[in-house]
Amino acid sequence: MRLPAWIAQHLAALRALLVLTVLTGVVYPLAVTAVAQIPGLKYQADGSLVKIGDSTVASAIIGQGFVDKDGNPLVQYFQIRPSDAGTGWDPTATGASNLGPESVVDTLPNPADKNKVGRPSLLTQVCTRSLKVGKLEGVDGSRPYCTPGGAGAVLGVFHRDGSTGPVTRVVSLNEACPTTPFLASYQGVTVECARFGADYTKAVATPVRGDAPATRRYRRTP
Amino acid sequence: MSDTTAGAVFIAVLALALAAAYRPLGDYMYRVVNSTRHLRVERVMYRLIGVNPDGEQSWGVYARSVLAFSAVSVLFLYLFLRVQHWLWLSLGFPNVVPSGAWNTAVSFVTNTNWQWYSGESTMGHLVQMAGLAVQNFASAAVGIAVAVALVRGFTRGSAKSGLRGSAGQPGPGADQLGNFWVDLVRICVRIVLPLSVLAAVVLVAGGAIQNLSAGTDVHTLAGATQHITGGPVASQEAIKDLGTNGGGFYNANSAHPFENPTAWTNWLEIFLLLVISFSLPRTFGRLVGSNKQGYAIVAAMVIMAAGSIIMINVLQGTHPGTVPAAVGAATEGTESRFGVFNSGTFASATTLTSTGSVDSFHDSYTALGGGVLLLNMMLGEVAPGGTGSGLYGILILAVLTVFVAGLMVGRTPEYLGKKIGAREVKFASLYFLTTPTLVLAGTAVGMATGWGKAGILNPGAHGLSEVLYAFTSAANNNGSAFAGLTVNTTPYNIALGLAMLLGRFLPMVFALGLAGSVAGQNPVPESAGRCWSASP
Amino acid sequence: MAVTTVGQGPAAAGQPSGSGGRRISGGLLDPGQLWRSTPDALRKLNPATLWRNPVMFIVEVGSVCTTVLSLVHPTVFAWLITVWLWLTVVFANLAEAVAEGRGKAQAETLRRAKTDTVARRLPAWPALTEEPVPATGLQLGDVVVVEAGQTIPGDGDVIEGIASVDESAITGESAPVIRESGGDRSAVTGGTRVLSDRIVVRITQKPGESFIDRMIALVEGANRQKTPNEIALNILLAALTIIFLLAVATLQPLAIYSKSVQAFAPDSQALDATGLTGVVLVSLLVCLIPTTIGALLSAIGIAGMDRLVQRNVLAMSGRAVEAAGDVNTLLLDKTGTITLGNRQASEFLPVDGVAAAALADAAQLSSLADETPEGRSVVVYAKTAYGLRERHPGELSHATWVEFTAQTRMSGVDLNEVPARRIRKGAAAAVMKWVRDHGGHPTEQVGPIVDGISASGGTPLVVAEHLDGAPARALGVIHLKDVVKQGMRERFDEMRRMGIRTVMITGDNPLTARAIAAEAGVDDFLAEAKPEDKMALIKREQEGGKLVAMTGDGTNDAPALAQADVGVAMNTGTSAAKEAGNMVDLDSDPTKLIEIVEIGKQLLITRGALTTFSIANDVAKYFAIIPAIFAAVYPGLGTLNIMALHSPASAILSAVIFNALVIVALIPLALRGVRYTPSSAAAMLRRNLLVYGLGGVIVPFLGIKLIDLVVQFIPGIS
Repeated sequence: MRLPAWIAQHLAALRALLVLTVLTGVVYPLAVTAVAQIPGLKYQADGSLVKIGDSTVASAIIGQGFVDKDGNPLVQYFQIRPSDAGTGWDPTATGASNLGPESVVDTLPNPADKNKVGRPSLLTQVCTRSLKVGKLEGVDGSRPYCTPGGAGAVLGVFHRDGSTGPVTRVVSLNEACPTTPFLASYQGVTVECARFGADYTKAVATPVRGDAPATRRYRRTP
Repeated sequence: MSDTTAGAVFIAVLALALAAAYRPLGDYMYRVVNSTRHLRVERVMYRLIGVNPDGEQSWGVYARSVLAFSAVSVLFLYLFLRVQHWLWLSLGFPNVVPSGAWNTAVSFVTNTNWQWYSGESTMGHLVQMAGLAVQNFASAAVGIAVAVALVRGFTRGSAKSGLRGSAGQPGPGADQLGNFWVDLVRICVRIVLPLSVLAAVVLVAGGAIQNLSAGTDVHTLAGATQHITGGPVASQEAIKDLGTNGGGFYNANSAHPFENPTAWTNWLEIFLLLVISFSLPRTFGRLVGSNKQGYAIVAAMVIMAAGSIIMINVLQGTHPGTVPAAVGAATEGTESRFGVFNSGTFASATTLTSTGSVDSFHDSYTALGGGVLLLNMMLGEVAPGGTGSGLYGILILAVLTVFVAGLMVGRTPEYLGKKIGAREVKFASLYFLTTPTLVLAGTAVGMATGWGKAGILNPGAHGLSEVLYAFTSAANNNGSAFAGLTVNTTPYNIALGLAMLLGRFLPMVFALGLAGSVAGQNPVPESAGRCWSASP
Repeated sequence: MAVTTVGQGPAAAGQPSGSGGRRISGGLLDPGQLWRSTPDALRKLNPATLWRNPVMFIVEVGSVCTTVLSLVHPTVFAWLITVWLWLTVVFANLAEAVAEGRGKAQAETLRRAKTDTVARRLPAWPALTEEPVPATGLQLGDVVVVEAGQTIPGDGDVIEGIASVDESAITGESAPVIRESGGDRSAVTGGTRVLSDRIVVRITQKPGESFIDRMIALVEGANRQKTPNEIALNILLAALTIIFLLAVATLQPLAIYSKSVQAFAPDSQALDATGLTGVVLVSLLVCLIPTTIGALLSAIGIAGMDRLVQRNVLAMSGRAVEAAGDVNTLLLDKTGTITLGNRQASEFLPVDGVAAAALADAAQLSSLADETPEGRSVVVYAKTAYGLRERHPGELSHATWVEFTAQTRMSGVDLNEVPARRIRKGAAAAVMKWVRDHGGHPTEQVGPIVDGISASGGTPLVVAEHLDGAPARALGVIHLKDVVKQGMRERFDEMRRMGIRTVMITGDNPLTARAIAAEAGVDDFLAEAKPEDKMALIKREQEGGKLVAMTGDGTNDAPALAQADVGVAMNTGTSAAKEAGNMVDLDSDPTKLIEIVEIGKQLLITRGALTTFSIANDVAKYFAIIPAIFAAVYPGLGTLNIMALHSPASAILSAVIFNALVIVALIPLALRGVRYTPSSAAAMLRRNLLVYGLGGVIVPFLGIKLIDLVVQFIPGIS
């Protein structure tokens, strides 16, 4: 019995796929795994595991948190960078914040619902961490575009004509009431604190530089 | 050494290494695709597949073979994902949901490797290595095969029986483009497989893991428990880069220490994901019998790539934007093992090719920096592009450029001795229509529907870029993401799957159609009045 | 107008060396012509015809949309945009109408030639019984008789008789031409008039397919088919149009989203909460799609054919014109094309002991009775080089003239002086024999001189003298030479730069052919060529993938003309030749092939240049329109407004107006063709990229800014 050409073609395709699967999907990874068992490679291939006595405590190349159960730093250890993997340093949920450079306005927490923490903007996250590290290490944690309270210093400015014209109203978007805004007034208009649920979409989000020293990635020691 | 200097040295060494590989690798690939000999293992494979390795195919048959193989691959991978729970090494992960399985199956078969899922919490080891990684090999080989078939179209004509005749073999028919099955097997067996073995072992030496363990629970110094994962990572990482696939074992992709442990493996991975695509122009030059043609193509690629890499490094280095100003650098989303500059170079390389793996997170890039990445993909990924797809993309770009330029010097335009007439322009135009159509239609639908807007993470124009980036990445078969967008929804999985599928195979068919069209022509001799565009 | 332009053809072709005269250019565009073509342009708005031009069809559809929108929400801005969009379509149609209009005038003159004639058919030829038939009723193969004063009723071959024919109706050339049966001058064209004698003609055309019918159709562009490159370009333009159509369609949801997330932004004339207004979307689309080239593409094609017609060349297909631009090899007949028709005396070479002036005198005397062109040239040369006045046979009453015959191959004179003096001039062998017969023997010197002249490709004529009582002796040799037309070498050099190989075809022996080829500067030659050799050469070239152009007139040229990619038949030639070729040169000037090649190239270059220009134009339009639409929402985009345009409305309007006006501005260029100077491809590409690519980027910036300076004062555009 001869098969129609199009079926024959797909059978050939299926056979080709199976052949390649055996070659590149089974033989190849197993071969590499076998090679990786030779001394000098085995340690890395197994995950660069670090042991203290009989207990495996870490992988040498995977970060872990040096914080207590509540997330407070254990000061006897060197504190490593913040992690976005799961709730922090979770190798089963790797990833990044994916927040952009203009992620500056927080989603405020609902004061009525204690479980909801809101969603801080990247700017506020940076400001908060900086303040915390500053406090921990006893250095100045202030940064440009940050409020002294560790939030993003961003004003929602209402103009008469939308994006232009005189200022009619100003809200400090990341400082939920009853926080006192970091600025008393902006262009002669009193700055309000932000209320949960209020509509600020017609305001132009305006980050305020403040007078903190410019941050350099590598601050040279004097 | 300041980190700017370090970044510059990093790029310079990379360029030197690629330049050094250009001739040997390009020549080697030429010999592989132009050889008349079959290795013993290949003969066995042809027998198992049931094809005659010496039969030649016309463009239609070649295209149907590509499509048949890819269709079977999608179906096979889909079923694999749907039943993974019941197979070995599933790590207990459940079967993948239908829309997700569809999206991933298409994604890997199309060399896109768009990932809606987190590898470490969705895919078992078996499906990673025998399902996904197989398509990493196959899709790369299919890309190269189609590119080679297109080039063969230019070298063959009805007057002379093509260049293969010079190897002592009876010349193939006029409009024959080679044999897809032979190309597929050879490219796998002789090019990508050996290079992958080499690269995988080197990556293991650098710290990438390679085992079949389900992972180890460790008790950290702080008293918590951490699950250190296991898996055949290095073997998959090697082909992920080499085949410009990009689908990482982990969600964090090449930012994960087990995939990309150190600064030098980072360099190696960038090298791997560029090397085949940058060397293929040499193969092309050899095939058409003029290395100058290869240099012209690679020069065009280098100019575009260099521009892109410089721009991204400058933009990331000067880091405009509010948050980077507060931080003092555009570090968000980058690994400090690699730093801002080397991350930027990786990001540029991954979007210039169809790789899409990341060692930093593009969504957190500066606005213009992210724009450069988007632009890289929108240019059609031709500098140097995906394995094979970059070459056929730039050749078709050359065809259109030569068409307009040829008119300007008052001749019916020709490229490589073949006239560019209505039929050729039609195929080339269709080729270039496909991706913008998919990107624009996809984005329009995404922005106009509730499900489309629901996934947006960042505010304002940035959110719009997330959707545009997703469809650009899918339709261009890149697979990188402005990952802020939540795409793990049924509509996004279906829509992006369609964009990937059409964005891969329509252009391929048009490229093969063009090949068939020019293969049927008599070659036109070279003369002083002809136009050689050295750079498109 | 048509007659005068037709008349220009031969004049232009007659001076191949003049640098200014042969520059390809069409007639200048007369503004009145624009006005006269307007009704035609409006008629072309009919969508049923416009859809053939996809780019302009989209613009028309857009215009209809904005018209409707303007009626629903009338604003000054909307109406102005609507008006200018309609003008864009009209301008495009105008370009085509003007191009066609030029041909129409020509067609009018041709129609006048096609008056209703009554043919005198000879149904039983060779019996001479006649029957009157209307010319339109003549069938292929009918035989008719035409006498002096009558109009030839249809195209055909003379099968009996000889007549002078006035062909001015089709060639514009008033001098009558001779048509005779047999040979290569047998073809007559319907509509021309017999001036003398009587001829019998066998009709070779089908009814309604006469040469004049085809000419009329051609110059009117009525059944103009798109050429291959034009089709390819159309596909490319359609593809670009689709991409931009999609891009603009996608912009709408993007705009709505942007507007909603940047809610503080005020509504503008371009953008409000419901998205971009339809008028703005259409404007954006029209500005981005390649309207400039879309509008001018068919005009370029028509004008290209028209330029050929103005040079009195009829191309039977557009494909042939394009092929002319691609020609790799030109086959040129030596005689008449590369050299002047005949050999001419160019030197007198006396043997020792004979003064040059004496030789000149003897040469002149012996040639007076030689009426062949060569003989005449000896007399002329003696006059110009030695100041010898021409003496007429009657002047020397005591002379006996010996005329040149093909048998004796000598001419001369016997002078009854004392002593009697006999002079002979002729082919070396014949004259030497004469010398020996009269007791002389040729000096040692004559042989080498003769051989030297032969080797250089010339023809030697020996002059000898026999005085009574003395042995005859040779006086010297006349060097007859093929004179290469002036300026040919330069033209062939140009051809070489353009990548075209020139091959000279000649019946001469290889030695002579080589010498002439070297002098003229052609790349190659085919000596002792028979028609079969020509055919073989063409086939050989074509097998290598080359395109070959040639001219021909004889029936035996017909197969080669048909085989060549560009076969230019001489109008004086046979019907067979005219049928076989794909072009006919009404002036029967073989050098015109070179101009045809240039026109073919110019046609392609014009298309390419305007396409580049059109695409390059988009850059400025992005800078005008994108900030205009989005600056309110994303203030950062305001920095893109580098032209500092007054307002969003004025920016969009200016771009639309520029887009329309640039079409009008380019109509003359489209009709005239881009200036073409033969040079290498690289140099030409560089130049055209610079002019049309870079120019295409810069011009709209200036243009849009200037228009903006004006439109900002229109109330409602602020």
